[in-house]
Amino acid sequence: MHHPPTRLATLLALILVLWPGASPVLAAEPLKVAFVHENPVGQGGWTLSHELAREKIEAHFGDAITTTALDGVVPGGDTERVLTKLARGGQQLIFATSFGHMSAAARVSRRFPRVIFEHAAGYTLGRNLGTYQIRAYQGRYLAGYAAGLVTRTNRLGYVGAFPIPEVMRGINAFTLGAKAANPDAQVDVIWISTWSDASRSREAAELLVSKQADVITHHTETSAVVQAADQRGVWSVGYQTDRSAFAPRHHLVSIAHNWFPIYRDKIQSVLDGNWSPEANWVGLEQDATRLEGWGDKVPESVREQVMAQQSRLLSGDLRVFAGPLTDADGQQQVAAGEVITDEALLKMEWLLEGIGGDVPR
Amino acid sequence: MDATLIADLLYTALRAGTPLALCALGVLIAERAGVLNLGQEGIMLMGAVTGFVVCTETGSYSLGVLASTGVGASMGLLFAGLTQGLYANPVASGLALAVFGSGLSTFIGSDYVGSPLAGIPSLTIPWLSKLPLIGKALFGQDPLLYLAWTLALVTGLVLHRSRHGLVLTAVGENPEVAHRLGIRVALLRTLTACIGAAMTGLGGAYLSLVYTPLWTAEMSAGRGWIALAMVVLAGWRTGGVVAASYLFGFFSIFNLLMQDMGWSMSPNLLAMTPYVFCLLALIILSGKGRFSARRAPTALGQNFHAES
Repeated sequence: MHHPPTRLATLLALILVLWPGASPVLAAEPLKVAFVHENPVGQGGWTLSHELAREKIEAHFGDAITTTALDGVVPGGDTERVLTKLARGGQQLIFATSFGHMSAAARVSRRFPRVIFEHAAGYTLGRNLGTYQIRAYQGRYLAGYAAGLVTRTNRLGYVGAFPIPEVMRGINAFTLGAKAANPDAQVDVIWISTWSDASRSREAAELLVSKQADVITHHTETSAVVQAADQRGVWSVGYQTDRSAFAPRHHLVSIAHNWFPIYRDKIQSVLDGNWSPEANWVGLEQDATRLEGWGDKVPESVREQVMAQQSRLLSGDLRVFAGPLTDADGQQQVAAGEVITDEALLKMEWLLEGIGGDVPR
Repeated sequence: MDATLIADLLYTALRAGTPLALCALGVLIAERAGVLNLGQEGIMLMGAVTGFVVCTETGSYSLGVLASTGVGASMGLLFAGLTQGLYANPVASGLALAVFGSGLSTFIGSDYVGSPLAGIPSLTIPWLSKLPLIGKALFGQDPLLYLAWTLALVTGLVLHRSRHGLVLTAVGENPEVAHRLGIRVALLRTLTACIGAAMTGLGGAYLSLVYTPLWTAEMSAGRGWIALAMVVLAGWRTGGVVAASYLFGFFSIFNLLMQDMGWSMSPNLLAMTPYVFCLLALIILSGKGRFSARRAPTALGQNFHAES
């Protein structure tokens, strides 16, 4: 049986679709954007904060882009292989979101000059390689300020993963904030050499509490530290995402990353054809680092004082890393009357004097 | 160091050693019967994720613990089916199970990453838990830890002090002879594979319901592999397995403390020490000295095909 009208309609539709310029479907190829993460999204934290931003990006740009994300890409040979595969596979803009991806991103970017690479939290730039950072240390400073206000033992505990600049900035800023609020506050760090091992995080947190710390914070992926602090009845400061659900009784506050503004701007510049390799920083002004999930038990006066500090940071009246700053070896890192440069921030490998705990080398 | 710090350290070390002890006891039971299941890491992860998911959905810790144990047992059954039923290579089957469990648990758990759980509360035994130093560590723990100790006691009695233990040893040493004596080798091996894996599943539940009541991918962090080495280290004796597990728990707390006291060592070296320890134990055990009698069951990891 034949249905001439149906066939005619099909033919007409085909012509319409294939006619140059007639169909919006074929108008512009969407920009192919890829994300490479070190840790599984399933471990929360840093990777999750990037994935949350990717969802917002997709909603924001709609059909103009397509995105792909790969997680569990461990630094080393694997990263190079994955980045090469993505570049060969036609991805046009690749975000590598872990500090450990830096050298691989630099190497692969040289081999694929027409692909744009962006690397988070590092310090290497190339012709087609940019970097981007969140001034999370601003959030750290504010949380440290809150910690300095609420502590009764004057001891603050910090669980760190690896001594890379991103972590060092956080510890130093937290300490500066705490000491600004309370000159007697002492910060102790325990290094656990893993981002994602929940048990290690917990053991370190418990040890800090046993050593009289009554505010505990972390630079690790899981919520184990926040949870341990809550169960031991001390304050906790969550990092990367709002962790207050893990500390129903004693949460102080969380420092959340919001990567959306920086991803939006980077992708927009590629779409507009005016991308250039830059080291971009986004901070409080862009709402990229923010305090979320204040605990119910936090006194109103503490929140008000912290918000006052936030306004001072926003107005530029207060700078986190303002000199004089001396490191643990007694060397002056920032002179009196000066403010640290972004370049020095990117390469920060020192801790302020007076911070407890041995930095692994 | 003050007394509260020591009391806290003991308390935490016992908790840290418990998931390992549960898994290692499970490995021990199966290996005494000649079942070598290298899939412990995967089983533990499956136990952890199931316990967490069931507990979050139903709000019942008992159901969560039961589910972990059940999932562990069914993975043991799967392993037994492959190796006792289909005569598949046990080493390959075990490794496959490890990879399978790790992948599946990550998949199942992906929606539960951000969800908090209060965790199984500790019991405080009146008066005794107030004892200095050891009170909190011995009498202020959670019910699962006491269950683990009970299981260790039962395992020890059954393996080393009962007729059943002798039968298991026979199956592990010489399945041929055991078979001719009328012992149902395949059935017994299937049973021990299930019991062993159930205990590993329980170890997983300890991680996700007690120790760190949350779910993250790969949260067992190599404990399944360490447990396998622990059993070798302990010479297939229950007491040794329990002691080695808690020593390991103590060690993991202790090296954080050393760091805190400024007695620091390269973290890479520190991370290596348990494995060096195991290697040394293996070297000692393989020698002809006093300890060499504590060897592996002769038929460990060998498939037995009854000819009738």
